[in-house]
Amino acid sequence: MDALNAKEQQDFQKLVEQKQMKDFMRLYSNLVERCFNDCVNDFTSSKLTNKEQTCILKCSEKFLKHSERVGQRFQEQNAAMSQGLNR
Amino acid sequence: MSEKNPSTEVPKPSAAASAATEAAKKVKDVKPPKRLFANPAFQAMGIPAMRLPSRNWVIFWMTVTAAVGGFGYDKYQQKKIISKYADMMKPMAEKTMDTKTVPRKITVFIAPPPSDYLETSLKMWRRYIKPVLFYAGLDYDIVQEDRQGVIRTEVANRMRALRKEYIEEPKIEAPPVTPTDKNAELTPAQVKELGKEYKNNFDWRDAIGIFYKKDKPAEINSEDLESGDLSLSGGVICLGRGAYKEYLAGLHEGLLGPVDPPVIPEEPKQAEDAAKKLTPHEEEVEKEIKVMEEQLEETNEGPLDTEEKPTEEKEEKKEENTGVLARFIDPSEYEAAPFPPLELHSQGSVIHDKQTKLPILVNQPLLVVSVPNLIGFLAIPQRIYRFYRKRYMTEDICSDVAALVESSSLRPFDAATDVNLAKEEESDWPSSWVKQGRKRDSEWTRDVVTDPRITSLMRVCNKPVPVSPEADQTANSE
Amino acid sequence: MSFLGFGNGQPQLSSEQKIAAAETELDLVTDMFNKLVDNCYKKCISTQYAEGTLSKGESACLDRCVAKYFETNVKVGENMQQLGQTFTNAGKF
Repeated sequence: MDALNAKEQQDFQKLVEQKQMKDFMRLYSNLVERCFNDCVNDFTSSKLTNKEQTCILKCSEKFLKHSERVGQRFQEQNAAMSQGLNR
Repeated sequence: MSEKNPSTEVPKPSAAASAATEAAKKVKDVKPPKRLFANPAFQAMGIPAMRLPSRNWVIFWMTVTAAVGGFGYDKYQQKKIISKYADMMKPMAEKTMDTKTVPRKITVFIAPPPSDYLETSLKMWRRYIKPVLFYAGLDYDIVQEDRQGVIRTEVANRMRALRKEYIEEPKIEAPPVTPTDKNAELTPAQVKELGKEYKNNFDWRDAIGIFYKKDKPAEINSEDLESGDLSLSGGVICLGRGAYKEYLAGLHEGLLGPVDPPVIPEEPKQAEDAAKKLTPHEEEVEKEIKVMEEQLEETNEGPLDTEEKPTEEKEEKKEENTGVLARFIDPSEYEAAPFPPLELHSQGSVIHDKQTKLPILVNQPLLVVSVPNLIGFLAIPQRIYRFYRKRYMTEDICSDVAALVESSSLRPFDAATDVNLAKEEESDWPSSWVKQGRKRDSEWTRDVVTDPRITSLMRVCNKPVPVSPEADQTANSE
Repeated sequence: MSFLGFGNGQPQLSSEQKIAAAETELDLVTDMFNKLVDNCYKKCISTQYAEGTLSKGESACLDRCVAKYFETNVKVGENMQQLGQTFTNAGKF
């Protein structure tokens, strides 16, 4: 990535946006699977119970917040590491 | 005359006799039942008579049971105490925190006890202090040392870096190499530089799915900023009297001393050393200069430019090796030294850090924990006594750390008595070590000199030191 | 991640090749991020879902988890280099 010149960087940035969208889709499906695994355990009826619905809500919120926090720290660590390598 | 039939007479007496002998044998074989000694007190209580082992064995088993039992009881009580404080702190960790917020950070300075290993202090940290901080949901930053001076250097460096940030004007950065023309006109080196810059500044959050719809947080703040009362933010724990002394020395040195390292005024020696290291070309130049000097009859003002380089290299090597820098300022110069001009960045007496906007180390609440560590053969009875009473020390330490976490008992630094915080640790220090230290003028044996301008900024969490510390030898937490 | 091993002895890579190489690097890093998210979730966050936000304890745990994951990454890279395999490129970022 450090061998790109300015025009290539612009093309790369577009590619990055595409990747971000794909990752967002992947995040969504991963979230569905995770909340299903953790929350939905009662198969006596084909409709979600109230308890399961609140659990799914909490699970989604929590996972998204978790992902955001980890993303922040990830960026900080990457920046720190690239600075460290630069020395 | 013996007309009797001997055969008839013999069996009669033998039948009786054999019965009698058999009975006698049975009596001989069957020993009378042993009568166990029954303790009359036990007898009275209804406890059956028991067979005890011999007196010596009883003594042995009693001693072993007492030793092991005492240790086990003490350990059990320690665990109970630590879990009690952990449970006290758990509700604090269950509060919610935003993703943009970073938890409160406690800085811990850990020094080894004299003539012993750092592991001793680290054990105390891990067993008694760390659980309380962990269960309270706080973050901790540890600065440890295995030789004297590292903590002082670190604290002083931080203070000096802070001053440099505020004092230095922002550097006018060179304009970035922007391709005004086509890329082909840039030199390969410039292209490489651009590439490296791009890579270093690349924000990976652009590639992460979560930030596709969600905005990236603009600023990351410490939770202290959001809680309202900045004066309670952060915290400093000094584990060991040595750590405390070095912390104070580092604060004073960093804030009152010069920002740049003082120039060593040993020029004549350096000139001689440098002269030996001159290259042949410079030697010729030197010769010419000397000729000129003789002609002009001037004193030694040798234009030796090489004098700085060898000493700089030496200093750099020393720095890399030890992590300890010599003091930039002597304690006797504290009064005369000017306080740094940080008024613009402080609210009252609280100085703020530029990046985190939190009060700096000086303004954070301080807790000093002593590390009792007796060494020596003659001290063994006292060491055994302390070993069996560790639960009291645990209670003291845990309650102090809990008070720091809850910020319940902060008071301003009292220059007269708070200099002696954790002084009882010094009675544990081996006298030979102290003597040697005084001879070498090592940091922990020096007197603590404080300046009121700096101690007025500090706040302490420890309980107040009693007025006559020499008389007070109890293990009170101080 | 430096592709110096590739670029040094050969003529300059073409634009598409460079972008493809950068894309691979990007994929590698985002893959690492996804693994990081999954693993730190398993290690730090309970599945009881008492509430919809992270608590202080969990947040502190996450911060430390990310730092340790990066350190692990670096250490594994160093070990791989020592063992002399061709993982040198994956180790550096």
